[in-house]
Amino acid sequence: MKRSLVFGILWPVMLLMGCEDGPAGNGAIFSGSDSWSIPRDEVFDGGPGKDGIPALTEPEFISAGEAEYLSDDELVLGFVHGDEARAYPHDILDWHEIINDLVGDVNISVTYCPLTGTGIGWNREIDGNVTTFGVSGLLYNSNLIPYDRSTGSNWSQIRLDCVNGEHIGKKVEVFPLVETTWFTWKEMYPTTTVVSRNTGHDRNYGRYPYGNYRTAHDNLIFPVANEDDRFQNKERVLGIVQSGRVRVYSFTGFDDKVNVINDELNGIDVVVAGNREDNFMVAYINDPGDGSTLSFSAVQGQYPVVMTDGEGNMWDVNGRAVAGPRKDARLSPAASFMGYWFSFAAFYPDLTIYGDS
Amino acid sequence: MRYLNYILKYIIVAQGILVSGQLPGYSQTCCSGGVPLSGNIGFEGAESGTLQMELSYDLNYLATLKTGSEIYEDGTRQRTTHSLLVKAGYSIKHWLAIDALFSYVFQGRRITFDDQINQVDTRGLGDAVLMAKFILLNLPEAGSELQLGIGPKLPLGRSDLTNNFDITLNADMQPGSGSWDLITWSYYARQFVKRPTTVVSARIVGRLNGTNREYLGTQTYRIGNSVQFYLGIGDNVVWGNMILSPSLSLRYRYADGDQINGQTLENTGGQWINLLPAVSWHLSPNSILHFVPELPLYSEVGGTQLTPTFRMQLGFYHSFGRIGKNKSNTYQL
Repeated sequence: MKRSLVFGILWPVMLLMGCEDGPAGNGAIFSGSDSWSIPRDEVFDGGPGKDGIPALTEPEFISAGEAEYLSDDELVLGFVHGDEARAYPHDILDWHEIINDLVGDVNISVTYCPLTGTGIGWNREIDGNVTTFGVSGLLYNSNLIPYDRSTGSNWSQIRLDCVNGEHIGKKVEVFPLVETTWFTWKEMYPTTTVVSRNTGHDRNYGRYPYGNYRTAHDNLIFPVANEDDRFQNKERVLGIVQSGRVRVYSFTGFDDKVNVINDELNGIDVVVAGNREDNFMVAYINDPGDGSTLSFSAVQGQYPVVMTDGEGNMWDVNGRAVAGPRKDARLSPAASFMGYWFSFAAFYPDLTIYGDS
Repeated sequence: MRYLNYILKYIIVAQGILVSGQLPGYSQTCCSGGVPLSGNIGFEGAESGTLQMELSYDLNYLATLKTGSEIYEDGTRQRTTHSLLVKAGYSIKHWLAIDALFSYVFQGRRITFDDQINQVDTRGLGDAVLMAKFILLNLPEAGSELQLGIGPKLPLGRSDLTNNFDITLNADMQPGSGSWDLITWSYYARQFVKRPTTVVSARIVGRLNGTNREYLGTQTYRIGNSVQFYLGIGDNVVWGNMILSPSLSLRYRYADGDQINGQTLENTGGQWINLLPAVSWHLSPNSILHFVPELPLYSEVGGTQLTPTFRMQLGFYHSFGRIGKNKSNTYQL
């Protein structure tokens, strides 16, 4: 009996201890190569897996009047090309994170990370080749890592560059997006279209999938490299990324009308326009295309026009002169985007805050 | 024996806290693909000196995507957990036994998107459970059986496995939870007076979970506490020269949401009701082969999760030494 007892207790332990731990056999298919430009031990598997969050490609659009599902205070990412305005609602992006779209002749990927609150328009034409981006399922500093389907390279959304794979080191070309409420966007562009909920995926778009994450400042699901308590973690701010330098603008610097800030970052003149009540901030490089610098001031009640200059030009929220001697000129888009404060602090520890001495 | 009274009272109180504190207020991150430990611990009572062993294979296949109780028509995501379970129990006295459960786990995650398949697999030694059981009533003597058990779940499994590119996988794909947990277990079975081979049984298993303080290096992760209720009926039938024990059980499981850094994760936890039509084949007086499929009847998950579509278990049981004359026939999943 004793022999049975000893055998009975020991053999299962011996059996199981003899096995190895680790990734199993031929699984673990992540695209990319071994070389990363970011610390690999700070890249984490987000849980759903590669394409577990399905990106949309050229989805169906409907008119603003047909979009009864959207409430006025829902946030959207707006994009304008030529005379065409399109809105990409957060409540669809929360479930898909990337929308690969074609607007006129512009191949754009609207990338949105629900964990960092960052929505950025990416050119999906790389070296002359049009690609689509998918959700890799990986996160760096809690932020989305899209992958391009042509080469499988992994890109960092907030760093705006490729961090792994064939395109490693390549910079992202950014298209300007306006993040604001559906109400404000419709006021600016009444003929806008918006992504339909008929996406081909069965999801409950009316439900935010991350619980209290948007407002719980202590709720960070994944590690970040740097934390900074100058703002609360989930406060939405605008960040301008210019040659590795970053400056952040908070709604606290704006009031409930259009405000304009003429600023300089890293030797480059920039202009920031925003309205706290209407919930938007945008930024452009203060160069109308001829190397000159303009002095901007705010325009009220004429959306989408938000500012004018000393020459009498009227500039819209997309940085285009819609009236005046420079009509149809464009301000170069700054690499700027809205996001939760903690995400800028995580990626750019040396950032400055507008208004801080 | 005075200490025994304290221990038994503690088990009852702990289970009471689990049951009253959890219901329904909501275990594994993003899906319910965890290793089936607490549901498998605990043998039926046996005479002192008896060693009971069991080797089983457990499959948990998850392909049902839900928000709350609403099912999405989505066939893109699949999770599988294959577990090899080795269970041993030794009856020290007629009123005291010790059970142990060890696991080895193979986990897989498959995404199908635009006809491309992305598969991630992990494997590893899973966590283990040790449990002391106190047999208050014994089936052969009293016509009913009552056991209470308590013990730790040992974090033997790794919780920091990486994929082939050295990227740390999330908690759901780890074979271990990285935490010390407390398991409470109670079991009651009763024979029918007119048909002693027919036994009804009930089981409550509670799990109070500790915290993994090294999750993703710097985070804390705590799997939500859970409680399970089993209710079953089984019998012996003679078929040719074989003795078969068909049984039917109902399982209710409630799990609280997981927590990262003390914050509840949205897409975790929930409640599940499953039906378990099982059959056991008595190969000899001391050996039993059993098959237990598990069919989901109802579930309401926290947030949006993959939830079990099908489960099954195949196992071989053997006892060394004397076993009770009238074993319960409701297989304990």
